[in-house]
Amino acid sequence: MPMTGRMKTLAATAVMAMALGLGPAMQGAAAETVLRVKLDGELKEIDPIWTSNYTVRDHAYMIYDTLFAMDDKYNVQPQMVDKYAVSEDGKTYTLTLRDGLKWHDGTPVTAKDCIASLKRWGKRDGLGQQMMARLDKFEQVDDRTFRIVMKENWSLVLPALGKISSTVPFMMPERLANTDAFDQVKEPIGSGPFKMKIDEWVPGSKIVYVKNQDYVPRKEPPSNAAGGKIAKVDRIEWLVMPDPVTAVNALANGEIDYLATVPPDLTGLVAKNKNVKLQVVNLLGKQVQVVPNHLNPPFDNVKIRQALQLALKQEDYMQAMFGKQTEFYQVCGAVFFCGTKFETEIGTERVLKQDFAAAKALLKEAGYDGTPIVMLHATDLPEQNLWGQVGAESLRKAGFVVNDVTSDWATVASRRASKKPIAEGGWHLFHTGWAGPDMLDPAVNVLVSGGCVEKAWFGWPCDAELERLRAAFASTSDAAEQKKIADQVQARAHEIVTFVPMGQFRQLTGYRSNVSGVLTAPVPFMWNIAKN
Amino acid sequence: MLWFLVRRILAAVPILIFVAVFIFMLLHLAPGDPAAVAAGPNASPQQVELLRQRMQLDMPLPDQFMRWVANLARFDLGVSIFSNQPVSRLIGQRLEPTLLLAFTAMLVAVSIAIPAGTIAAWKADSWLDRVVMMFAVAGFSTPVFVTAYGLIYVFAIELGWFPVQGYTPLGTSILDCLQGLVLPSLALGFVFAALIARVVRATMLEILAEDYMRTARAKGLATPTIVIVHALKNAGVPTMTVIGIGFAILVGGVVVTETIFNIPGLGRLTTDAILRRDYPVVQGVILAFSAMLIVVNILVDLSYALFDPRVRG
Repeated sequence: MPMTGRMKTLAATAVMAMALGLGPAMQGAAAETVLRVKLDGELKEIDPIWTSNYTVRDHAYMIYDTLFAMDDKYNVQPQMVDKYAVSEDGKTYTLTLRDGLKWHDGTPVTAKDCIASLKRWGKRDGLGQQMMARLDKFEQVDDRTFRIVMKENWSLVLPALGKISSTVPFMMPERLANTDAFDQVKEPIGSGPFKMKIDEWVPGSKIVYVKNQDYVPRKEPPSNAAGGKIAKVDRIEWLVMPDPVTAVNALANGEIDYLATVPPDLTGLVAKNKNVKLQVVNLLGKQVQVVPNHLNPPFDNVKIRQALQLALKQEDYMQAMFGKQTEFYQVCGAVFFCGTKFETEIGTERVLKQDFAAAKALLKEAGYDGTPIVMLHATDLPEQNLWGQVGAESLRKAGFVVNDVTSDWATVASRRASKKPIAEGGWHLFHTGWAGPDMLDPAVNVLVSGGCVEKAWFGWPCDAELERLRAAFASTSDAAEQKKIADQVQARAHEIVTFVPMGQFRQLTGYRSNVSGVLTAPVPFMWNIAKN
Repeated sequence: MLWFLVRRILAAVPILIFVAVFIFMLLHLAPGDPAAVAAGPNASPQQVELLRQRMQLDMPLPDQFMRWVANLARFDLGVSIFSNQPVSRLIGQRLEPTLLLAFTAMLVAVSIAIPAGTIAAWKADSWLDRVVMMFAVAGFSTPVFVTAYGLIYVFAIELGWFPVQGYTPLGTSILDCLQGLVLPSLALGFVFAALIARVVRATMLEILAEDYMRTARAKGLATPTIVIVHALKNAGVPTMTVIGIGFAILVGGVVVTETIFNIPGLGRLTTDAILRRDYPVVQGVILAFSAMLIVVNILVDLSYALFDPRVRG
């Protein structure tokens, strides 16, 4: 039977009513946005105070927050702190937390929590230990306010609290922060923009985070680790993919949205893919270092260590990694990284110029007797493997006898802790790679420590002048004075050869074209990233 | 049959004890320090030493061993040094993808190998036989990662029929789970198909030359009946042995395939744990493998009864 005009009107009205009625329901059932990411490393631990591992640091930035943070100029800005004051004598810091901060379990963030967190952090982090050694006391003023009272005017309090890289002073509830610093916390409870779904964690395979609906971001735009941390996706799935080819193919195929590092030899797989963007987001990058052991002959002789500087060439290392892609690396002799406020070329003459003849002359002058140099060489990490091969070859050409001891990283990490002579399992040198934020100044850069076997990092340089300069750096807040001291630190570090810098490099990050808001930063921050 | 099972299970106990002692000694005597790995690259030597003490890794080896054995007696495999998760939970998370991959790969292998090996034996020295043997050599000789990358390139990237990587639990989506297992099953199945086909062919050639086969032909039985009903059945015992060994390898040792296709299996768990010196995980997984291998062997032995009535007797 044909529809009458009245029936048509009724039908149209019914359809409209249904649409209006369904509308809100459809909005409520809108699909959650899921960002699938592949970051560097595999998350095996979840406590960023217990370990300094960079992968754990990256995880921790998702779920924890910090009192202060560094912006893109590496200036310290308040983060969880609303306002702060420093006394005239520079010894007392009064910090007041922002309103509305909550832990993921719903309880409010209090001053007591922050004090406990700082105490725990201060037991594990190098800069934190220096701060605690100078600390007089913590004082709680009220629920949101506390004081840090120092014994002396130490200019690094705020830089320590705003430290961007391991070990970052992340804040935790007091009940968790009271965990012994050498035991892991049992629950990943923070106050950050995302929450970890521990029930969906498959160690070594997948980690899941969901948006923290209670997070109160700052109003400023995001800038490095500082500013507003707005979670723009509902869920993040961090997939572990040990094979880099698989990871790049997965990005090309749209099976993941973000890949933190696209290896230089695989960029061709996605360079012409219209759905993939490639960008250098970590502008500071990393540096390769060769670390000699000052305890074991012949490297207890400064001339032999200086011959080491002359034997090695940064371009060799960088070309082994990047081939003809020179845009991803730079030759840089600065111990505090190039492109930073403490960059200088002071003392870099031997570091930037390979000279086998001069190296051999120094070896002869020092009386090098052909003792085999035990070089620890990790072959299970691709970059380490390359560095070891390049280094061994160059040292041999310079006249060193090299015992290239290949093994996995776990063996290297174990053996480099040995202070024993070579005959009892000691070593002469190894390669390492540190990220920019960990090397920015004399306070955070452990590779310029002259603290001897008691306090220095592996290699154990022992130099009173270096320690005097580092202490002087920490006791002044004058920028010009700090720069002058940093220059002196570099000169001294290169003179006694605490380590040899072997080039600075950056790598590409890849993400799908429907992803936006990726921040330029030395750490892969997941806030501000949206997915259409 | 029941007494057979009981005897086999009892015989497994000293094997497991030997494995436990052996793997403990091997791990702890090998170089490497889990405390150094756990502390991270920025940790100072002093921090590493303090962590080692907290992890009780500085305890004398016999004490560490007795602690572990005491836990084992309570069926407690311990806790991962790194993730703090129970080892049994870590193994449990990996069991489903591991067993599914092993099963589907073996299904692919058997589906290809038994017909191929049978045809090759039946048509021995013909072009068919040569084609099958070429396939067997290729399967054996081609590294699994080459096959895997080739499959990914053609079927995942170019054709888009299957995902490049990943594993979807059965409970989430059966279709997605099976779709994700197609390419890794083919990659692994190709290798094992080659192995099983050779064994089937060799066994079938022996059987087809037997007197009773000549009698069967003289009686006028059809060729399919001779080959499938009589000959193939008698080739079942050695074939099942190879299938059993292959299944055990698939469960424990396919870390390359798991890595390329990003499948969270036991192979990767073991390799990662070894590289990190996560002692409780390595010890627990190796014990679990040993137990699984024992179970697979028992099942293979039981299957002989299907093919050989003398075993049933």
